Amino acid sequence: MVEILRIENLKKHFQTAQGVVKAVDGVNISLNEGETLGLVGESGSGKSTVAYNVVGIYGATSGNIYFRGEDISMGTSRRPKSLKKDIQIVFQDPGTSLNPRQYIHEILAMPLRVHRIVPENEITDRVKELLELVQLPTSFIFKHPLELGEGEKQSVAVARALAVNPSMIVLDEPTSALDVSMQAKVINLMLELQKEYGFSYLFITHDLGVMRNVADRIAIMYLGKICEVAPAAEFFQTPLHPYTRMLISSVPVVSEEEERMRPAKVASRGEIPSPVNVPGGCGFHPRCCDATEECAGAIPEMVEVESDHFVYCHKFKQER
Amino acid sequence: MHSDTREIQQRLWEKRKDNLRRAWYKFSGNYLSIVGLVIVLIVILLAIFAPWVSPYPEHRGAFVDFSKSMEPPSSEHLLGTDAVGRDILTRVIFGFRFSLMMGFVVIGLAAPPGIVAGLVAGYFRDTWVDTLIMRITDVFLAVPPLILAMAITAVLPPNVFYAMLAVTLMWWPWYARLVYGIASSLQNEFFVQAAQVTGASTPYIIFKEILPNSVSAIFTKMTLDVGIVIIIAASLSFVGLGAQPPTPDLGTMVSDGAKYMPDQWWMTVCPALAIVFTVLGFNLLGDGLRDMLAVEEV
Repeated sequence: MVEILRIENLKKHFQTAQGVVKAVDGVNISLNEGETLGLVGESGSGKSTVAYNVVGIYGATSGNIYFRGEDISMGTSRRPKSLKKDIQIVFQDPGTSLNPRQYIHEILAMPLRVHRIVPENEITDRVKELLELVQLPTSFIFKHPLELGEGEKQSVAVARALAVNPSMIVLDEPTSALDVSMQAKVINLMLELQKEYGFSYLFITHDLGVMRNVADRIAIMYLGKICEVAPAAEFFQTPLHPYTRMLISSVPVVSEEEERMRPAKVASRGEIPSPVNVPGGCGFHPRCCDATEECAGAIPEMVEVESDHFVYCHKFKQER
Repeated sequence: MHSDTREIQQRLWEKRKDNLRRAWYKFSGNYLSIVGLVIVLIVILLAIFAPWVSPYPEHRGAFVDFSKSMEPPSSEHLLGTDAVGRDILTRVIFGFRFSLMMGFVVIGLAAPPGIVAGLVAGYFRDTWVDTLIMRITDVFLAVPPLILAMAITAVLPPNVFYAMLAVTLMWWPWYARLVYGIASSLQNEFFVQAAQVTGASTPYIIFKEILPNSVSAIFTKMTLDVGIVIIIAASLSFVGLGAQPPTPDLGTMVSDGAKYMPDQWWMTVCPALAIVFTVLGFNLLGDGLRDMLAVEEV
């Protein structure tokens, strides 16, 4: 498998009045060509900050992001234009991700014009094709975003991301603002497009249920750090990190079959601490039921428990 | 599948007409906005056709007829005559010309640089560009507008051109401020970030993504400001720094007539009421525009 994206020890700190917020504090993950990597975490875990770093809305505080071997850890203003064609993003809130003063035609024509994807006189045809691609009627080119439903807006946002023929799309909670029927529609659309065009997805969400259906591999984030990375099937069957177990056991289930698959219930304790005042050692130890003295003292190292299944927890430290 | 670009342009144009019709429907829902619009149209038409609609067009300039001096309102002179026997109604109608020209020219000159400054500063919020532009506007805003205008017109010869220059100089920072507020919040919106991620140029983002979202606020402010600029212009004329006699000007007329208050009250009250009428019209129109454009945003 060819690696398309590698994030190495990425840190993004923000200076605020309350102190330094370590939104992302040493993240290592990689994404293969044509794969979907689910990045899951609670609100405030820094998952969107990782997304914004990847597309360049933020420049990294330290660490590196490699896209096909090229360092892209700087912000958009310093990235070469060709890179911006390869990496696209679909935002969380479809309401504000489309300019309310523009027609769908203008919104979708912008990326086509910026990168001269098609000659000027074919732009309208291409815009119509893009709308068909995301299963919207072509008559929408004369509509304002305000005239569309939330799901339709999100589909337009997807079409805008597709317009430049990217290789990788960052999906920053693309379904969290949609109602359930729309969520399924948008997710199925994304999967169909991936099958057809081989996009790589960095799929960010707080919804593990969604992840079960779409992700090839899943990475769990907590307080700016990765807890566990595993292939999706293994992740749900044998979650290792106490935080992961807590998350999975708190996903609501409907059928008995699902109930049987569920790991033993782990009581969730407390709330995610403020990122200004992160606990020392393993960030999760104040909420962890297996915490020992070591957990409060030292930041856990990455342990490869099985092939491709990584966990950052003292419990799984290998004796060498 | 090949669609004609002209057909697309046509359909977009129709869509725009549709939006205009809807906007008019909202605007006309409030009768005060209609009143404002009618007043503004009346004033503009009177100003344009002043030589044909005023009863004594020759009274606009240096005309003297002491036999008719200081006559009260009558059927012959509806608003009376001034100290040298000129018809006040005629001079009020010609006075609208100067007031409107002052209002339109000053706003027309002050708004574009203010808007561009505000857009650029807002888009580059929290950088040195923002600091530089906004501190300069702060300097202009710190000087009381009328005092600055008086200082400028005191140094330079008192005439219409310099009066306009003075008011323009103190007016652009307000547009910079207004647009800065809008632009600096919009530069954080996802649609702006999407354009940045895709690699759209900074001018494209500023003028195509951010500016259209500030237009409603800008238009409303421009309309309201025409009224305020007319008052400022009249104030400058009142203290003798604006239009110079014998140019018919509402501020000068109020000032000249004040000497004869209260016995010959019409010489002051009539041009003063004309100012009130005009400014009221622009304010009502501005309020109507604001309501119309605000509803559209929801």
